[in-house]
Amino acid sequence: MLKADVVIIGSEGAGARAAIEVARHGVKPLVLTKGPIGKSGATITAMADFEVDSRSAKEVLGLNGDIRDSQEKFFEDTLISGGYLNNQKMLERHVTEIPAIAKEMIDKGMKVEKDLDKAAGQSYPRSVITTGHEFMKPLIKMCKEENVAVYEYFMATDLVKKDGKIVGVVGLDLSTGEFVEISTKAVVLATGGGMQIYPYSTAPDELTGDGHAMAFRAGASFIDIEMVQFMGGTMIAPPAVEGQGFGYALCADLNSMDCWMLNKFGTRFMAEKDPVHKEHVTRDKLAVGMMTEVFEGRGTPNGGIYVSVSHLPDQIIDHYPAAKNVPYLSKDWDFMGFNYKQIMEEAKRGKALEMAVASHFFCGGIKIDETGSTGIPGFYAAGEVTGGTEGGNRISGNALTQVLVQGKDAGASAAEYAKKASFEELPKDMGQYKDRVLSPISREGSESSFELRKRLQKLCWDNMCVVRTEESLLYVISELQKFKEILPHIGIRAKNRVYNREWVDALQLESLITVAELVATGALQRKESRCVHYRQDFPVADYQNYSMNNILENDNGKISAHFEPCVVTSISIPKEAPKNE
Amino acid sequence: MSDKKIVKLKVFRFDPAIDQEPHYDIFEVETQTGYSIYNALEYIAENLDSTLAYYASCRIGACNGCVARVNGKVVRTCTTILTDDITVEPVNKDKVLKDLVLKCAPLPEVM
Repeated sequence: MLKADVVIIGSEGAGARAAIEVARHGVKPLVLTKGPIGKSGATITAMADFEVDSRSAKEVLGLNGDIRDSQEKFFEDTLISGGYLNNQKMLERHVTEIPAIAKEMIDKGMKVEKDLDKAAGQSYPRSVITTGHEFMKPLIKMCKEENVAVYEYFMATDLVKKDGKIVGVVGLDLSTGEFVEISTKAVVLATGGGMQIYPYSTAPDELTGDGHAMAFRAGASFIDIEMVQFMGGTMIAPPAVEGQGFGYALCADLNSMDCWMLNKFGTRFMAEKDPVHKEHVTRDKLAVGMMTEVFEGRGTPNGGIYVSVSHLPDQIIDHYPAAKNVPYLSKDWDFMGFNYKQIMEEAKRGKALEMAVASHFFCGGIKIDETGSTGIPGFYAAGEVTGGTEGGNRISGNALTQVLVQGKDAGASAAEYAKKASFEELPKDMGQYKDRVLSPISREGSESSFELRKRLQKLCWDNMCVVRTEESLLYVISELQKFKEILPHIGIRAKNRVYNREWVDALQLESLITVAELVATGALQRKESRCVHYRQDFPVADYQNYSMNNILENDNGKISAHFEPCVVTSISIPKEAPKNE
Repeated sequence: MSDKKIVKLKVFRFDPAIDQEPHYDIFEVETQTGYSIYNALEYIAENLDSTLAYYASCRIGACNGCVARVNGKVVRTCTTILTDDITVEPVNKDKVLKDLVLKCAPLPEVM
C-alpha cells in the first residue's frame, strides 16, 4: 500500500506551498491532483495579482510601494471588506507572513511588475501584478527541489478516519481506473472552491467541491459558506469565451475606462444605484447591481446585461490596452489566449458586449484555525476550500496571498503533527469508501450525469445566485433531496476504466450536491445582506444580530446550523453597520 | 462566415484496454461564430460518444491543459475557433494514455 507522512490533496497554490513546507520540516509529502500539476486548479487562471502591504512591497520586495502604508492598515481594509466576519487571528497571519513568502517566490524566479495596482477596497496600491504561470513557476521549482512526490490524475474521494483521527485517503486513479488506498498520518486539503455548482464560472471545470464533500463526510465544520463571490463582467457568449473575465479587465476595475452597463431599456443602472462610483464599485455590489436587473426581468435574453463603449471616442478605446498597462491584456486586445479586437471594433460601432456574473470565489468554506487545523486530529486545510481569512468578501488579489500563507502554515502544522504521530492500519471494512468510487461504473442506470449536472447548475443559478430569498433557498434544498434520490440511478455509458470522464463527472456530481446543500443552508440561516450575500427579503446588514460566523456541521449526515462569535483580536466589530453596507 | 455550419472532426482514438493499434473516428458537429474545438470535444463526449478521453481544465486560455495537435499543429483547443473540417490528435502519439490524453509522470519507486 502507498504510504506518506502527509498527503496533500490539490497541487496548485495552496497545495504546492503546503507540500514544500512539509518537505522542509523533514517529513514525506505526497500530493494528489485530479489533473497535471501546473495545468489544473484555480491558481493558474488567476489574472493575477497578490496583495502585500505597500510598505513591505517597497522595503521587502523592492517594488514601487508607498511607505505610508502598514500591515495594520492592510489588516483593517481586509476586515472592512470582509464585513468584520474575518477570523482576525488568521488575518494577522495573512498580513504579516506574506512579505517573506512573496520575497522567496520572487527570488525563485517569479516575474512581477515594478508598479503596484490599487484594488477596490484597498487604501494603498497593494496588488503585485504577475500571471498564474509566473506564480506557479517557483512553486513547481521548489516542489522539485524538495523532491515532492506528485500523484497526477488522482481523484481523492474520501478521508479515512479511525478512532476520531485521520489515518488514510482513498480515491480513483484515473490512469488505471483502480480504487486506491493510501495510508497517512495527516492530510492537508487544498482542493479550492466549489464554483461549479453554477453554470457560469470563471473557475476550471474540476472545481467541483470534492474537498468540501470529503470534509463534510469526515465531520469538519463549515464557516460562512453562503459567501460566494461572483465576478461581474464575465462574458457569457459566444461559447468559446464563456467564463472569461474580459469584462472585468475592460470596465469594472478602479483604473478602467468608463464603460456603461445598460439594461434592456438602456438605463445605466449602476449610475442610479451609486452615482459616485457607478460601475467602479466593489465586486459584490456590482454583482448585486447586475443580477437584480436580470432577476427583475430587465436583463438580456441570455440572462446577462449589456456593456456599451460607443459613447467614448475611438482614441480612448484604441489606446486603452496600452493605458491600462496590465500583462494579461495586450496592446492588440489579446486577453488570455483570445483576441478581442474584432469584438471591440464592433463595440466602437455600437454593438454592446454581453456579460453576466460568474461564480468566482468561495469566501467561506471549511472552518480552520490560524494553524490550518480543522480540529480533527491529522486534518488540515488551506486555500480557497477554507473560510475565515476573507470573511464575507474578498479584495482582488487576496486569494493568492491567502493560498501562500495558509499553504505554508497548514503544511508546517501537518508536518509537526506527523512527526509525533504513527501510521495506523486502515479499518478492515473499507466497503463504504470503495462503493462510492466503483458503484457508478458497475451499474446500468437510466440517468445521465452530464444532464443532471446541468440541471443542478441551473437550479443554483435560478435560485441562489447573487439574489436570494427564503423561498428560493427552501426550493433549492427540497430539489436537492430529489437529486440525492436520483444519484444511485446514474448509469455510466462508457465502461472503459482508463481516463473515463463520464465516471469522474458522476463522482463530481455527488460533491456538487453536497456543496449546493451547504451553500443553500448557510444562505437560509443568514437573514441579512452583508458583503457578497444578498437576501432580497432582508436587504440590509444586521450588525445587531448577525455579526457572527455561520457554522454548519454534520449531524449524522444532516446539516445542523448555529452562529458563533467571530474571532476578534485588535479591532472590535461596530455595533451598527458601516455606512457603505 | 455564416453563423452555423456542420464540420467533421477526425479524432485519434486509442484505448489501451481494448485496442492493439490506434484508429480514427469521425464526428459531425455544428459550429458557429465563437465556437472552439474544445466546445466540440465537450459536445462529442456529452452527446455522441462518452468514451472520448481528452484533458481540459480552465477552458479560458490559461492552463494549456487542453493542447492537442490539430491538422499537425499544436494548439490550445479552447482558444482555437472551429471553422472547417479538422484532424485532432494527441500532442505526442508515443505517450498516449487514452485518445488525446497523455500519460503522466510515474510516482517515485520509494512511495
